[in-house]
Amino acid sequence: MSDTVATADTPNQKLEPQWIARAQQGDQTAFSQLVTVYQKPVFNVCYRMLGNRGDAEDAAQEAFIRAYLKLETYDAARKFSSWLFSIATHYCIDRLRKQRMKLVSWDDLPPWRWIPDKEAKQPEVALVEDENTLELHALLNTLPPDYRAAVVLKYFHEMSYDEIAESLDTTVSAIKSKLFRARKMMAQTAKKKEASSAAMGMTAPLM
Amino acid sequence: MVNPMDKFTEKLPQYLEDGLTEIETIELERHLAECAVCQAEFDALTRFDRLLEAAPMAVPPPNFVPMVEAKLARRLHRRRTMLGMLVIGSVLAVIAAILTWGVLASGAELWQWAATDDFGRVWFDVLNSIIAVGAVIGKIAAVLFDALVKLMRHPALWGYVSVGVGLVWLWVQLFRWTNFAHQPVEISR
Repeated sequence: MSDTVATADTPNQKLEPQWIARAQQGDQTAFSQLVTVYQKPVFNVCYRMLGNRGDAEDAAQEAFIRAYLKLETYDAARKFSSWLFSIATHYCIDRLRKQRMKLVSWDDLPPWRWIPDKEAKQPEVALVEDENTLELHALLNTLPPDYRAAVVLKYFHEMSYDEIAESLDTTVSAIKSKLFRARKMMAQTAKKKEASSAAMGMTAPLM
Repeated sequence: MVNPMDKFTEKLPQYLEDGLTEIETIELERHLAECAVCQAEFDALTRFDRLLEAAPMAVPPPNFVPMVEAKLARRLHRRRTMLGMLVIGSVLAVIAAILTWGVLASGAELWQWAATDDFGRVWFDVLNSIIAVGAVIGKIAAVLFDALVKLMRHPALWGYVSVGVGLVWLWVQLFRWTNFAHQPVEISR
């Protein structure tokens, strides 16, 4: 990705501890500075996790509100962005798990599930920008929520294994294992898509 | 029977994560150049990477920060309101419990007083006075006043009033404290 924003810019990094300290004392203006700096990466995490802008906007707002309400528990020794991503990803994981409770098994669905139905007026389809984004989200949607969180933090935000493990409250080896399995799952999904496209007489989109 | 190509395909994810040794990497790359099956597997594994390269960073709406500020202000206000309601509810519950206890405890005593000759005579007089319309209001007032005076002499009543005033004062102090602790959020425009 060419436009990856994982952390604050250098001038902001100097001011960040001051903003955090002031926000911890109840200064909402200082907290707004933190929101301004981190709105883009946090929104991106939520968007890639949830797959549509409406849910992502709601989730990102909720993540910041939860961060403010839990700011007293923030440990200054920890990287603020990791702590913030931790709140956002955990919220998205919970949200996805609740959604999945209502869904049927992925394997029970017909093979044409990979083909985006452009005729349907579903909000999430209407809002995605292009076919690449559709396919990207189709791949991400096949992953369990915690795998998806690891993939998003690793590949969209270029976080290290240590940072991802810290954000997701797990170990580095568990993260490596999840990323390894996630890649295999997405590969299987891609192959299924090609097979179903071929079966329907369509040409799989070239990358 | 183990497929000889499996040893290469199994290493592909590690290869993509730079998890192979230099020798393993060279060996795998050499094999990929020759094997169409493994190359297809590799293409499937890297499909996500190619999509990722083309994916832009998702940008939040321009009014995202004010929206967070407004939502935060609402959330804090709701928390304060809920805290206030909790305090008020607690105070009312305590007062209701004390009064209930007081009524139950002193109920027998009050009933005894109501059953005395004084009480019966007063009401007998009232009934007699109904005929004399002009005296009825005065008699009733006198009876009520008498009852009020007797109640006011009941020591438990003063206890109820004191406890009630004290709890209301405590609630007011708590409400002032919660308002002080959470200043309203400034919304940037």
